[in-house]
Amino acid sequence: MSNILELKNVSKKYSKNFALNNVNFNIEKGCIMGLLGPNGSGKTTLIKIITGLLTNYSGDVLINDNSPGYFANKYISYLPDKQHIPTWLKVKESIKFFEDFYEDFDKERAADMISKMDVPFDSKIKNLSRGQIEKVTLSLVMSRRAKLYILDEPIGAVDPASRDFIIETILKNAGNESSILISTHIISDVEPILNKAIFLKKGEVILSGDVESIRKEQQKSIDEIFREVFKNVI
Amino acid sequence: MLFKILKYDLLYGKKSFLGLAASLISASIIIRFLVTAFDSPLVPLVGTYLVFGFLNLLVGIMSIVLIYQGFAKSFFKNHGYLIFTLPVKHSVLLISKVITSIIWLNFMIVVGTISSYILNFGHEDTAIVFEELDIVGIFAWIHYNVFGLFAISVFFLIITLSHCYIKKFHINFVLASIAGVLYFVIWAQILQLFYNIVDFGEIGIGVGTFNNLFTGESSYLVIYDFVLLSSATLFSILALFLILKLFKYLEIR
Repeated sequence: MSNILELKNVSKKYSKNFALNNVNFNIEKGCIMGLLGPNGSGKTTLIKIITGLLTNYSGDVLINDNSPGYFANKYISYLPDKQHIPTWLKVKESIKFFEDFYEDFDKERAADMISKMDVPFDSKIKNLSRGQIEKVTLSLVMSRRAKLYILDEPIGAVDPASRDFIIETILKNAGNESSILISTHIISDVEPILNKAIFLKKGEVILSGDVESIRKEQQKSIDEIFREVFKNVI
Repeated sequence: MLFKILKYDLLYGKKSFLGLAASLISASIIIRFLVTAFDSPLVPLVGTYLVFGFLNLLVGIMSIVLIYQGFAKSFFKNHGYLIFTLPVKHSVLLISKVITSIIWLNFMIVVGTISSYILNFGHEDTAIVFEELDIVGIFAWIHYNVFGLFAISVFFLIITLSHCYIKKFHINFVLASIAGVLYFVIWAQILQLFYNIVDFGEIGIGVGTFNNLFTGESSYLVIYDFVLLSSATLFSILALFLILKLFKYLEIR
């Protein structure tokens, strides 16, 4: 299987402290990988490096054989842990925005998903509820036919009902050729959909591999392993 | 991609700038009406003009605030997560912001001219001023745009610098502003040094200079003005180049 994402010896230092220390891993086509770790473990820093938001690091990162930056951004559909869609746009304008900038954006799919949520297209994003904004944002991000989806804490701040919607949306929209990197510290909800997992602790990879192999080896679920590994950290 | 990003940059400020323009023109119509309808003994003429001047100042400040918001919000706040992950070069994003600001500055100068015309309509002096706005006006407009570009570039440099983290050291707005002032001083000093070497004698700049340029009184003045404008443009480009380099040290939080 060819890799859509490759990281070799990636390190990021803030002053004297390592936010990431010698991180190595690959994501193959079609793989759903969980980037697991408590707050402050370096998950968001790693994602910022992959998406080109942080450029001051050491090591090699390749996205579909391209270094992070504007060209590689064509292949990545990124959902940050912040409300990143301009709030002064109307819902229909935000769809147009994505259509303008991403060649792989499926306008009909986005419109269909948003209309099912009963979100008025003429409403400004700032007038929607927090839950509605998160759903609209996810719909936009998942309506791209991207090679790599990077989702930073997609279920971190939503209610259980919304979590189901989000996971369902992710699964339904990511094609077989697409790969997904999900960063989260809420494992139980995403565990069933993961193929691979990588555990990050204080910027270092402490465990990684196939979810099935890890479960067999440790005789525990990923959620249980997570709780055990990070019980003194969380 | 430049036109696409430009479209959204213009769309962002559209309502606010149109609102400012509408208020300024409405104010000038109202003041003009008051002056004509009640004549000066009833309405204190100086007072109304002071109000208009204050409004102009307010609109100018508001324009700067809007330009600041357009730049800082989309780059360094949450929207930066979207803008910097678009498949668009950073240089294109920056150029779009500069063009947008220049467009708005020009829009506001047009609005200011229209409102001044409304306020002074019918006065003999007004007719003369507007008649003489041909070649001198164009020249003044070039200066306005070049120095507008310079001011915007340094302003953007200050804002960018104030969002940089170099080895976890945060350059705050005060330090960034000092750096911006220093940048301006360096430009002025280099310019002064050049003039000292070339020895232009005692010549000043201003509207008189523009007139002299076209009456051909002094070829030195043409060179003087050319050096002034080209150095300001060069320093604007350098400031924009520095901003692109500083993007490496940005941390959107």
